[in-house]
Amino acid sequence: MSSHLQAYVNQTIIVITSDGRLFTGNLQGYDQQTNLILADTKERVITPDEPTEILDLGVYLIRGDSVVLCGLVDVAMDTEIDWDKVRGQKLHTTKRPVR
Amino acid sequence: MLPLTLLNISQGHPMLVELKSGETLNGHLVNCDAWMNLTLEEVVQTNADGTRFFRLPECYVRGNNIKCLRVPDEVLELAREKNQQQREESRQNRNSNQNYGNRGGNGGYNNNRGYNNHNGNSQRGGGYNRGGGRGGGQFRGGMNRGGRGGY
Repeated sequence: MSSHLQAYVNQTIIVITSDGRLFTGNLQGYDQQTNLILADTKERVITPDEPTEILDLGVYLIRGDSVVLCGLVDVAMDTEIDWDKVRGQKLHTTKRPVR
Repeated sequence: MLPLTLLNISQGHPMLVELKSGETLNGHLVNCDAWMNLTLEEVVQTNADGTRFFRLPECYVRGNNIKCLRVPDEVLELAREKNQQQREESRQNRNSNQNYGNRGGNGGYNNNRGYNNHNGNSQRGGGYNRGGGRGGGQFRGGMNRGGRGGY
């Protein structure tokens, strides 16, 4: 099942979490529950009308519960992007709030 | 490297724990288990808006409430070193087991595979030199001496 992540180990990946946040980092390890270890983690905060904010977070352990997606990053293409110019809608959470 | 291994190695180090509720806990990890339940010491708890702070001398977190953990860079470095060390140890153990089997089971008849053949011979030599003195409780020591004897 999760053994497909083996191909991503030591690669730069992007992770979207269930609260709609976006992390990139170098995958150091993972397990059956999709808990992930990321090194050199950066969080990208993309907003509709302000430059993308990039937060340096270092080593991060993301609990599998909150992982929605992880994808391999094309580093060459990624570095070409001028993140200051990127605008976008905020991602919603995957959880429906209880009212 | 497994995430829970890293967590275990983080014991005694400071870390930031973010809960699913958005609250964060900043403290030293005292203990953790396979469910990611944690005990932290000297904690600063921050509410989801980041507007209020509370100091707790100690707290217990049930693992399922955790969203993510931020650990210091040096912990990852430490984990890498320990991993490497363990790998070497297990390799040595495997070799010594082979050696043991060679002397016992095969009775000197060498049916090891390719890359081991030279080694197998030298190890047998070493084992022979040492004589039958000690009954067979010599695992790692036996291997090392065997190896050197061969050269």
